[in-house]
Amino acid sequence: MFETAIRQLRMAMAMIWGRPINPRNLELLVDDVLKTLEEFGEPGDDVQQLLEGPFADPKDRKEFQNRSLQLTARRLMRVSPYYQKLFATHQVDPDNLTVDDLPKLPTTRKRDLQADPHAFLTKDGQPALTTRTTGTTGTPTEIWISRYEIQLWSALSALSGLLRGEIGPSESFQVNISSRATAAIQMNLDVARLAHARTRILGIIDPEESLTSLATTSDDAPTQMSTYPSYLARLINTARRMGMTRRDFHLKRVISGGEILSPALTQAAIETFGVREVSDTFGMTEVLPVSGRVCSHGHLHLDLNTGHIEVISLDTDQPATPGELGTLVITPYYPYRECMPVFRYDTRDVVRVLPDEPLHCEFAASPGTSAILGKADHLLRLPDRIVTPREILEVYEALPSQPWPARFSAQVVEQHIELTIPEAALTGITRSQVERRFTEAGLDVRIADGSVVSNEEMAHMRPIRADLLETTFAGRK
Amino acid sequence: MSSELLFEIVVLLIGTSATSLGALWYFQRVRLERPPIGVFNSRDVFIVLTFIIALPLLYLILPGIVLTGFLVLTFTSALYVTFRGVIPPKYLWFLIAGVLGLNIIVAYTLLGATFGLQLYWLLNSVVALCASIGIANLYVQGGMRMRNVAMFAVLLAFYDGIFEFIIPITQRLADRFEGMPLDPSIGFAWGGNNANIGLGDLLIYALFTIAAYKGFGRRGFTVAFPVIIVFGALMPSFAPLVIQSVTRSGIGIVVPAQIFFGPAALVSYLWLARQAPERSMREWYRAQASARQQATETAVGVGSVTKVIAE
Repeated sequence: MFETAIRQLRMAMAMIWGRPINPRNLELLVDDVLKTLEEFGEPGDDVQQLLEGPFADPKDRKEFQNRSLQLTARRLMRVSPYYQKLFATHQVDPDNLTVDDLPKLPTTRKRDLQADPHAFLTKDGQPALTTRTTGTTGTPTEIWISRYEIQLWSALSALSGLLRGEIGPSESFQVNISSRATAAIQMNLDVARLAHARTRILGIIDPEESLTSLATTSDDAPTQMSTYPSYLARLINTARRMGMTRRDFHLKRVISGGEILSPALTQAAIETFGVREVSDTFGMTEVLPVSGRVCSHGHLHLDLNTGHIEVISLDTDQPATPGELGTLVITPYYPYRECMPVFRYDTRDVVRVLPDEPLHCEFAASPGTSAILGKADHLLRLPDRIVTPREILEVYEALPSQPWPARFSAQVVEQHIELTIPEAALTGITRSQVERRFTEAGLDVRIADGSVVSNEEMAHMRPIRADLLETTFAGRK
Repeated sequence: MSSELLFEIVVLLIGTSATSLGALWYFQRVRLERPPIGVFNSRDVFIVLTFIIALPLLYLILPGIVLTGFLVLTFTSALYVTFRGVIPPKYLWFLIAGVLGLNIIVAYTLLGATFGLQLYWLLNSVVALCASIGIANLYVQGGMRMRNVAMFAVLLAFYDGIFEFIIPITQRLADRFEGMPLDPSIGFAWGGNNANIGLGDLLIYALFTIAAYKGFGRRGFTVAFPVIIVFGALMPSFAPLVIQSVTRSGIGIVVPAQIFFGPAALVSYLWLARQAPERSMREWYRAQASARQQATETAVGVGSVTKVIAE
């Protein structure tokens, strides 16, 4: 107990003084949590406060944010060639930088990272592992991560997972994400190791093979699965085709991220796999370790302990106002990010700012936004409003034809949206019925004569993460 | 049997019983707050032991007023821990300040009279009793197991032996506290006799009782309590008859009680651990919940039968 207090004190001191957090110290804290859970069955009092940080009070929050931003900016000024130049150009004084000054600074975008990735590498960073973005929006971006970072992020993630009761020695994880997402995979392995849980890294393999693994009857049957919504959809389709039901699985929870998860798909996962929960999470290679999760009220709550979150207006680069759409701009704080840090990284992920009133969800202690509504480049601008990809996807995936994983193409034609869909989407439903469904949801969507294409053609038009298929000899058979 | 010995037996029996039973009563009824992460483990025993070794040395060299300040701080923390979940904070601070203040006033003004001396011991005893009950519960509810307590008792046995017979600090310490405010012990004065038992011993007995009860249930208690009475109260009381060196020609008797209790505590633990695995706090909570549920079901059953009969 005294040792644990000293370890917590060491971690707090490192954070206050802006020094690197000793990952080994953090790993020992993870051990302490395991022992606590073994002895008491649950963490002690005030665990929520420990997890959520000083964010319930706006004044405390702002003070923490200012201090963390100054610390991060000071270090970038010292060791990051890209930001040295940028800060000098914009006359940034890291010692006096505050949250209110941020809108005066330009954001960093993916194209900046791609144009000169070496300029983002810090002078004292020790790159150990490279990870590539696995998004579907173009050329992958390569991000270097140090050994310190991977150890730190895994330990932080294990700590928070254990304290929230999401992971533990009795859990067995199946990971179906792209093997190119090396940081995420390494973290999954490390988190499971630290939490004394079991892990199966399978990648995006043939769904039948994944289902066989999920339906294992032995003691190590997966209890949790991490995957993308599009691959989850494939698993659901394949399981149903194979006549598998919830009785064949031991899953308790599906952790989904990287794409938009619709309520229809969530419900299908619950029915097919018998899971209690499908967690919708946010994570992005460029801004690791900042991550987020969607609460039961549909808000996205990002972890304010590890990074600063802004929502900037789509057109003005100024803070978005309540009710307005904007893109998420994230600054991971030092000492959580050290090798290839970014400052005000514009994720291009669109969210809506929530009304300025108290939240009543399970994560209400930390501020939230709407769930991710899509990429900024995929927004459909009608004369009177902007339609987000989520709005279309939610109606589309709720069609009786269950056209999962969702593939469609949408564009604005005159004053309505024209949708291109695959033939499979019209199984058991007519085009006009589909259009009516969209109308009922408040969307003027039309499907033109030539807008129903073959399934193969659609696959080329609209890539999804489930397309990153990896082969195995078992899969080929 | 001399009246002095008889008086000492009575005081020690009352002191050890009150502490052990009080700690158990508290354990069954009050849940102390615990930090989000952390379990009391064997390394913590060494840390506590380090304090136990270091503090008396400090107490010997500190000026009286500073020593009193130290004791005020120690007892304020201990009493706050004990009563935090029981008494609202706005009253608790007044209560602590009142009890400790009264103790200091009595120690400085009334010790010359018999009534004053008795009041002094009464106040000291209440403070030491509450402090030992609270701290023992803090440790056991924080995950300290009977294994740790037995180890702690054995280490204290060595400590007691060394600091009683080789480096006689215990006796000097007893002299140092005599007549000082907030003497950390339970004691009383009657008919020219004066006897007391120190806070360290009381803490170990409280720990031993509740750790045994938590770890091994009723059987644990039925083993632990007699061991405390015999090895923690009776044997130390009779010790001066056998060990002459603890009696200091007319100026008092200081008995290193843990020399008797430490080995007995270890043997008791080993015997209990052979019968059944020691329960964790989680298992204890479960057992409590199950007992409560059974009690409710029984009550409902009885209620239904009564209703049927009434109809």
